[in-house]
Amino acid sequence: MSPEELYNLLKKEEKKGYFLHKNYAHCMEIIDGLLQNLDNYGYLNCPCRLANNDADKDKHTTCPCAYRNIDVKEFGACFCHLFVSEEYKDDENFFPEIDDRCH
Amino acid sequence: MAATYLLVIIGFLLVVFGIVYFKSKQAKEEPVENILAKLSQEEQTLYKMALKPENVPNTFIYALSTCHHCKRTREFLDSHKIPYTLIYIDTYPKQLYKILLEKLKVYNPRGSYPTIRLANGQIITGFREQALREALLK
Repeated sequence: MSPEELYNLLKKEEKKGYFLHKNYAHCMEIIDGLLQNLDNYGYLNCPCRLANNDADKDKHTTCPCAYRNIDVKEFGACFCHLFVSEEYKDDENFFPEIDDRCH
Repeated sequence: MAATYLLVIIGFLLVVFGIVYFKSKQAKEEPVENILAKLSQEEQTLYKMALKPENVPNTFIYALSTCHHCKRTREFLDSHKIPYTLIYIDTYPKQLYKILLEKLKVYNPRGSYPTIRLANGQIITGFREQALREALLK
């Protein structure tokens, strides 16, 4: 899968109200990390979280992760800032501080 | 009577299987020293530093190679010419990164990245520009 293909795939989440960050370079950085994890572990583990090399164990950190919806609701973005809410979809510099709630 | 014998035999077999399983599992796990010896000198040094960051004279960072919070932390420190030592936990073999993760969790029970240990022992988790400014640019 190419970075652009994954970008387009994730962009479909917009229909659910989860928008890709306006900063395209940032998105591609995250997507590169996701693809690296896909290569290493076989699934799209969040690049900001350590993978266990076990798809079942890491289901909750596989993108879009189990915490995305609640983080977007509370902070306007997910932990790795790949997804943002509609309110911040045009803000290229929106990088709120978010505590990782997955541990 | 026969049922008792049967239960004893089943119990015995379970114990034997348990011992065999435990032994085979132990045999599969290579000693940490051997795994470490296969790494480069630099990786070995970093690993040892990560287990005793209190001996590192500057900021020590536990990071992931794919993590953008870690990258932004590096960029911040680089732009302010602040010396630091950094280890990418995910680039180490699983047995070693489990040990590194245990150590990291002593400082940051959430086990999130980056976990930054300043020279004075203060811990900063995640990329928190303001906290880094206050701690390092006073």
